[in-house]
Amino acid sequence: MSELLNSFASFLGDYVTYALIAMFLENTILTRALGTSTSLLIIRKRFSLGLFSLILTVITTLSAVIVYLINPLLNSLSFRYFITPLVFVLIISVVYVAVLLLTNFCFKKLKEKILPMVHLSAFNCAVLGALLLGSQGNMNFPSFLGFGLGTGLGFALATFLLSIAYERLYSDRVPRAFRGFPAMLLYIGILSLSFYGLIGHEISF
Amino acid sequence: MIRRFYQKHKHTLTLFDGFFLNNTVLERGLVIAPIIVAGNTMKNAVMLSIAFVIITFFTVLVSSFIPKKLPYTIRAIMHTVLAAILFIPVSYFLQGYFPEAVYKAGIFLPLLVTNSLIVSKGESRFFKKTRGVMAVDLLSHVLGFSLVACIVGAIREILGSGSFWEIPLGLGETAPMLMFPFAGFILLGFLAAALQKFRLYVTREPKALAKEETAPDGSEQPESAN
Repeated sequence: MSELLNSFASFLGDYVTYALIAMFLENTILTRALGTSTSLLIIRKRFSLGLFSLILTVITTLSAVIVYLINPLLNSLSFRYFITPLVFVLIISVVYVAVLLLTNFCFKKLKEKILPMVHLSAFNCAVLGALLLGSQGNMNFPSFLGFGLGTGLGFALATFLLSIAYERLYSDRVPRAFRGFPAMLLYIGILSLSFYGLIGHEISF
Repeated sequence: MIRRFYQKHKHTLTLFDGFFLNNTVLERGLVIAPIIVAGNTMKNAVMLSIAFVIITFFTVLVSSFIPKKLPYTIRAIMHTVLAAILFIPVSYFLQGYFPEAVYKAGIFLPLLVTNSLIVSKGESRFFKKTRGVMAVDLLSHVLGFSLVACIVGAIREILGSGSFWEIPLGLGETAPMLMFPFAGFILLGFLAAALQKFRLYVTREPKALAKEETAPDGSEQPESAN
């Protein structure tokens, strides 16, 4: 019994630790700029941030499970680097189709709202980036799952921070040359600087 | 003078908009991650540019032959799979010529297979044009990315590490923080502002410009991501 509890605690520990790492220390947008354009797009189109992040998290986590299972096989190949994107894209495609089918059968009322978000989140740099990063390290299963969850939550956190400033940075009070996207880039840069202060060192690619 | 030239040749120049005025990175905010994180040296920038140009140009071009009768999901998967297949010879070639840069670029080279020009802009912009016009527009966009990548890479390498193409320039002072992603965002922000200023200048009719100088209005919003 205590062994079971210990392994559960260990699973939970790894899961939460890697979720927090992916969310704060290796935030997908603020430390690696992955999914920045998607983030700005969902703010502009006023998509539900919670729902989009949930879909992104589901796709990343499900893909991460398959990548975890297939990773030992990939690691044994000498030409691993060259075929990894193809293998991961195929994995994401399977998950993408599965999520679309699930949406069609289980969420008929919300279908119109969910489908554009599924299309947007599937082949997103944040998803592929999380899988590539996860597969590089020697992560165990809970860590892999946690990294998938943290990527989605980190995306939500960063998008929320960007959405706060969005209206202001597009307002008439900002000089025309900086209004909108340029000011947003400067704002993300300053936020990114604060996250860099939290990490305290250069992240590995 | 530049404005007058632009106004006069507007229709021809619009075809090449993607290279400068309607730049993929600075105006549309697409494919910024490789430039911000990995584009901190000239060698990295050139390597990323070569990969981006080949992968994106040929993927979008070949993808335009995929029948529109197929459901969107299948088409989207096919575009990305095509890019991932193209990645194999391109990365093999680049590893031969830029082994260190490929290593330094890390995940940002494989990530080019899901760049926004392939995933979303193919369907929403390029495939709506005739193939000839599409090829020119697409080439302008991919070369526009390369232009920004090289400018950013050169500035960051020269000022951040005091070298160019890894050759020390003997500069007394450097700003190593320029090599970090946050500096990439900030530098790109200033470049985007410079482009926006230039775009507002050349695209405005001289009369409108004079009117605005007397009564400024702030109604126009530049296009951001996507």
